[in-house]
Amino acid sequence: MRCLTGGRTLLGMDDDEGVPDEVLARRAALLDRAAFRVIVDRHGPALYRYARRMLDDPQDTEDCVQEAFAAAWTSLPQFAGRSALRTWLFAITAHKVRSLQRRRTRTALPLPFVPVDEVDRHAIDPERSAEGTDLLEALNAALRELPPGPRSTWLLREVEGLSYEQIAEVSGTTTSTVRGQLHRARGHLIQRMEAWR
Amino acid sequence: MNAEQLLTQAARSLREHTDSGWVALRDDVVAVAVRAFRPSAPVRGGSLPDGPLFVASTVVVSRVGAALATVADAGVLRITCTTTSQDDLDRLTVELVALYGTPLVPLADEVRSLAATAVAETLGLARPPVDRVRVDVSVQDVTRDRRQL
Repeated sequence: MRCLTGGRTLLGMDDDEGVPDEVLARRAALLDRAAFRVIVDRHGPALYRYARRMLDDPQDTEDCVQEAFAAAWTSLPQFAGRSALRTWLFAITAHKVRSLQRRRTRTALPLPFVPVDEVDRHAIDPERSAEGTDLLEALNAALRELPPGPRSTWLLREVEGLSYEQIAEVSGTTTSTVRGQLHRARGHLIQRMEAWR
Repeated sequence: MNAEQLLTQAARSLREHTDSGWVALRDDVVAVAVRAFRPSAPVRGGSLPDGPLFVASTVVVSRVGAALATVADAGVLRITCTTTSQDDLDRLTVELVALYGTPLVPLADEVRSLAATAVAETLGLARPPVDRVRVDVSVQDVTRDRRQL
C-alpha cells in the first residue's frame, strides 16, 4: 500500500487578506493556485528584500527568489506546519542564497569584512551618500561589508522581525550563535551610521 | 539623532521598502513556480478502449479537495489516497476541521458522498466507487473561527 497525500483546495477566496497563512498553505498544497498567489504576494516582497541584500546582484536575486518559490510549491504537500509558513519560506530562501553564494563566482562580498575597531569612519562619504539617495543607500552599503552570517541575522531580526529561535531555524544554527552574529552586525552598522551621520 | 537611532530608522525604512526588482518579477513567480513538478504516484482509473487510464495522485487529491470546498462548515486539512500494488485506489482518507456546533454525522456523510463522486469523475469510473473504495472521514479539529476552514 502507498499513501499519497495532499491538503485542501479551494478555488476562489472571498477575503484574501484575512485568510491565515496555514490555511493558504493547506489550500496551495492541493494545487490551489489562487492560494499560492496570495502567499507569493504576502511574503514575496520580504523574501526578495532579504535575498537582494544577501546576494547583491539583481539577476542572482531573481533566480534565488524564483527557485525558492518553485521549491515551496513543490514541497507544500510536505509542509507540516511545525514552523510558521513565513519562517519556512525564509529557510528555503536562505538555503538558495547559500547555494548561489557557493556556486557563483559573483559573490555577495565586494568588500572584505572589517572588524568594528578597524572600520574607517570616512569610508562612506556623507556627501556622496546624501547625493546618491539617502539613509537606505548608506545602510545597503554598510550591509555589503558584513559577512553573510551576521548580515543574514541582522536582516532577519531587525528588518523582518523573526525571533532568535526562528533565525536559528532558518540559518541552521543555534540561538547563541544568532545572538553573537547580531551583536557583531549591530556594532559594525552603528559604526557606519556614525560615519554617515 | 545618534547612530543607533539612525540605524533603527534605516531598518524601518528598509522594512517598508519594496524593491523595484520584486515588482517586475512578481507576475512571473507564480507562473514559473506552478510549473515545477510535484512528485506523484499513478492511480489506475477506468478502462479505455486503448488501455487503462492512469491519473496522478496529486490530481485525484486536488479534484476531491475542490469538490469539498463547497462544504460550508468544514475545511479539509489533508486528503490521503492509498493505492494497492496494482495502483488501484484502495482508500481515501479525508481529515477535516469543522465549525464548532456542526452536526458531525451529516457532515461526514456529505463529505463521503462528494469525495466518492469526485473520485469517480476523475478516474473515469461509471459510478461513484463507494462500494469499491472506502472513504474515511476524520474530524481532527473544531474551530469557532470560520477563517480557519
